[in-house]
Amino acid sequence: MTEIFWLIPFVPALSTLILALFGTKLPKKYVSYQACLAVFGSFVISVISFLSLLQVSHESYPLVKNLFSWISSGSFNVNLSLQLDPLSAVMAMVVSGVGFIIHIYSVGYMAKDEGYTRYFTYLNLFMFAMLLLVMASNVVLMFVGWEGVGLCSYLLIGFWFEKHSAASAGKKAFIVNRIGDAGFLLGIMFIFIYIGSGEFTAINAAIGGGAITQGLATLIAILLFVGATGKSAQIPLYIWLPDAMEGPTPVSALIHAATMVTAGVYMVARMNLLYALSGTAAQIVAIVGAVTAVYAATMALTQNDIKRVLAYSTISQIGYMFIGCGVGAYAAGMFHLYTHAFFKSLLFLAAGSVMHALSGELNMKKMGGLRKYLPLTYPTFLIGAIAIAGIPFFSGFFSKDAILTAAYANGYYFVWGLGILGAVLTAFYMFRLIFLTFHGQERLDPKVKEHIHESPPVMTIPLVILAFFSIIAGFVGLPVVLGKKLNFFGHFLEPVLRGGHETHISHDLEWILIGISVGVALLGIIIAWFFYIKAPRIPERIRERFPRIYKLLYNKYYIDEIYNAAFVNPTVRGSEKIYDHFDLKVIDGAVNGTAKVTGFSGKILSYFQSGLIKDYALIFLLGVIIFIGYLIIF
Amino acid sequence: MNSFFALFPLLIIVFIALAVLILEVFLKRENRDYLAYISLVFLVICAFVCIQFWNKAYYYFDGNLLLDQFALFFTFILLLSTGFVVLLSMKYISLQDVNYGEFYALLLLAVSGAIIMVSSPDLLVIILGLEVLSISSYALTGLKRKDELSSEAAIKYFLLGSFATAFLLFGLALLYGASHSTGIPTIIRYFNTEADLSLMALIGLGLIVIGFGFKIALVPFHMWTPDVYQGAPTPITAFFSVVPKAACFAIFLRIFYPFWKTAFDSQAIFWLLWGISVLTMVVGNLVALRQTNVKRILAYSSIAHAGYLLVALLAQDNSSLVFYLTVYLFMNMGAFAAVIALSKKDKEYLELEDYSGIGFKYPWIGVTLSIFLLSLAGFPPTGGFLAKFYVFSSAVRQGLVPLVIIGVLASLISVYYYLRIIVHMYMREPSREVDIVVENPALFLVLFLCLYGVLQLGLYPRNILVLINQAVSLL
Repeated sequence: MTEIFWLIPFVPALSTLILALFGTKLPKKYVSYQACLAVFGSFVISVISFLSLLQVSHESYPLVKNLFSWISSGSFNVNLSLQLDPLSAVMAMVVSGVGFIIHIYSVGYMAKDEGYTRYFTYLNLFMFAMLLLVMASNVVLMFVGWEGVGLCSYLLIGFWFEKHSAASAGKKAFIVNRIGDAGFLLGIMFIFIYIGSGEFTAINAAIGGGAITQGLATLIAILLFVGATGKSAQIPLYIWLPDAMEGPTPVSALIHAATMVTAGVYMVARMNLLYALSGTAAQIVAIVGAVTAVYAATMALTQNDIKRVLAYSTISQIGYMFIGCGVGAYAAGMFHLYTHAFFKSLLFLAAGSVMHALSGELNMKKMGGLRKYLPLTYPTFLIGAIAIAGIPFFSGFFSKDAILTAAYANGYYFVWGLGILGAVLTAFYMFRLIFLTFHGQERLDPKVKEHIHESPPVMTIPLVILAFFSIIAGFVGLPVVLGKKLNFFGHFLEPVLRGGHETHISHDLEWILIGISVGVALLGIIIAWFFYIKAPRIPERIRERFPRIYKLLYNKYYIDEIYNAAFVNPTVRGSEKIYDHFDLKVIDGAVNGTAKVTGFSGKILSYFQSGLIKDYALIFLLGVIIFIGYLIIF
Repeated sequence: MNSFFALFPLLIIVFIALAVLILEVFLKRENRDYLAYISLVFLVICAFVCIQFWNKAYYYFDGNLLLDQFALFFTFILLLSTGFVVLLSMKYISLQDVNYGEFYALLLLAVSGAIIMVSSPDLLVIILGLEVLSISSYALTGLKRKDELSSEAAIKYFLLGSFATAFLLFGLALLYGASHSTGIPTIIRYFNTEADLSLMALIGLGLIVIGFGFKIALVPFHMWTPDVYQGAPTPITAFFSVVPKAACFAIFLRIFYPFWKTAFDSQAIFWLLWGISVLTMVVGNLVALRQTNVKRILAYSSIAHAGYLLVALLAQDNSSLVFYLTVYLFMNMGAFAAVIALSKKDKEYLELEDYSGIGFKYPWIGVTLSIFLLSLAGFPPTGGFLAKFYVFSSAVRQGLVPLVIIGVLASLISVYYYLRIIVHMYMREPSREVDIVVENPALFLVLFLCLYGVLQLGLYPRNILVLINQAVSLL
């Protein structure tokens, strides 16, 4: 039974193929059954593989299934092969499990959309690419999945391409990701050159055998991390994720919260030996993660669009995962990835349910007091918010606490401090969202109010399931202070995360750290309550008092504008300049002018007189002179 | 083996070119499709002959015509592209009123010139082949006689082409003066043994590079490319984007590969090619950003691809270069096939605006064109990704890291303009009424063959790589 794991990505692939070829002819009902069942199939196989993995001894990790030899040319060999080890098993279960729930939700959410079949085709294609990414046994195949999820993300962000903003958001996501991918690709090339193989086992063996130096490890690790900052929306390449919210909400939940954007974290965890060897690279990961965690949280403070708040929150939470990986607590980072998948997709789906109830309204300023209209959405949303804020016994508490404790224990006090600051902000903006949306005065549009209704069961049941997991998912990884054996999650991953290191701290200190993180979470909630329930005039007054800071935050630090001025415009202008010199464009003038055949010879002649050919030949000649001149001089 | 057989592929093509020219007189205008069928049959026969000759190494004329595996592989590529072009032309020439009898004859003569180029180790013979190719090309460019753009392009191409040929011949004269030979092996031996290289030889080599660089469209010798690509009949543009490039790179391989391998200190030439490669990649991609005409976009894209190919040459990895060329053949032909598909009687849809909403109106064209463009942009799992990956990683292995970084960044820019076409096809409302002739089985055959090629080379390139390695091992 251990062999069947290679089927995990290919079930959705088969479904994609059927939908792409015959989708338009199939009835809607069939499409939804097939798409959901395909993902469910992957989930079942993932669970079976996970269980069979428990029977296998640690020494035989990873199990590799070689499907065929993709490229073999001299020293350059790549196999199409998949692997199963604790890390990929966990990822496969999270991806297919959450993916399945979101597929079901989509059946209700997209029911009236014209592009129903197209939507499920893309979604299944995404599942294939994502599962390929997490199960690949070498970096090249991982890169194929990596590009594949990027492409699906682009297609799904721009799903409602009639909206101009959606189409351009898709393009932005795609291009920003390509910048990261360029770094990733260079990293892969260096791996091939110095290690000679892209297989993860070979890379780990080479690192273990001392085949690569520390400097080289740093170079490769940083190049790979550039790719991760693109895909996982970290500083400086995070700018695409907030715009990506133009896509359908289940897509935001699946791709831009639970799975794809965490691929960077998975990659760093997968390469943990490399980051451990480098040291410097790991520090960079930790610092970028910590800064992003706080930075993104500050931008979430002032947004009024419910999905954008969640988007900045995702960026911030992924920052926490990178803190975990950077400080050497890879298991904690992965643990946060796993709990985050539940509560963040819950929050997005619940936000989608709110939108559904309010005929697509996203602005929190036009909500308020919704809790009595949405009896199921409200409590599930609240559970998600509590989980992310880090209140004890909810899943987010355990994972965030594991990360922060590890950061402190391993001596990253600065990073720990930023993490605590981020935790206050997180609790604050989440409860700001809750209070503005569900509590307080009703500020609804009267027209919207007429149609207000709770979502159908096909949408609320997934909410309940995810809420359930948001509560209990954390209990597989209890803190060390409660007993060493209770961190099942960490123990399960231990054999593949050998690059991690733990420093033990006294129980008292650990209790204090837990106390601090619980304290700051409560503090954030209380401030939010004070600001938005008790004395709703305070935010207004703060805004008047500090208009500059407010504006800076509201406009997201003007980063989009700065990037445009620094990178986009110079490229466009450079292109224009080069265009003016190298593409004389005279021929276009002829197209735009009359296309009369008469007098055509005269026209041609006049072109010559205008010096067109002369210009071309002149540039040619200049090239020759420089060319030959160079040869003579050197 | 010294054998008359070595002439066979060339003879078949030349014979059929002349036969087509004569037959044309006896055929009615509406029956001219038969000329295409006959050409196709003989192209296939010729390709079959090439396959039969694999491993035989026939030569003739004292070795001035040499059918080694390298020549045969390239001949095969040339024949395949020409076959595609013939298929693409069948409907096109009657729709666009270029249905002249000399069309296929000129096409076949052009490819015969290219075959001479790839199968000779003697520069004089190579230049002879180049001229056969060029003169046919000039005539082909101007075949849209009622279109001023076409005639203008033909004249430009002719004048600048003659200009380039002059440099080529002058370069050869200098090389001959230094080494007393026009044969590539002798010239290389001269470079390797002569302790004190004369400047004359070096400049000769430089001029040769310029001459071929013109045909390949390397910056700054590329100025003709966009105008000629835009003006020429579109199937001919497809032909120009592949055949001369393949032939000239074959010659670059024959000349440069032995250089890299020996002790010859080619630093000067090396850095020149390095600079040209950077210029070509950067200028090609940047200027393409500003274009709104799809043929011009593809013209600049083909310039940029020449830059990537030059990276492969500098990386001294023959098989990656040949593999890239093979993939390029399929993806570029495919893209042009889709462009040609969007036409009707006396009207071609070539502006980006025309592509709005095409993806839904003509799903097959939309999907295949998207795949070709993604492949050109280097997306997995298409052949374009593998080819780029292969080229860039062998360049990194040679220590050309800055060059690779520039190349990767340049190809990053390219994503934008390829994507722009896809965005127009799928994410814009149709703004103009675009109405095309759909019944065109030959064209769809090309689309699907190219699709197959791009995917086969991307997913399972092993067999082709074995062949390529055999072909280049002889250099």
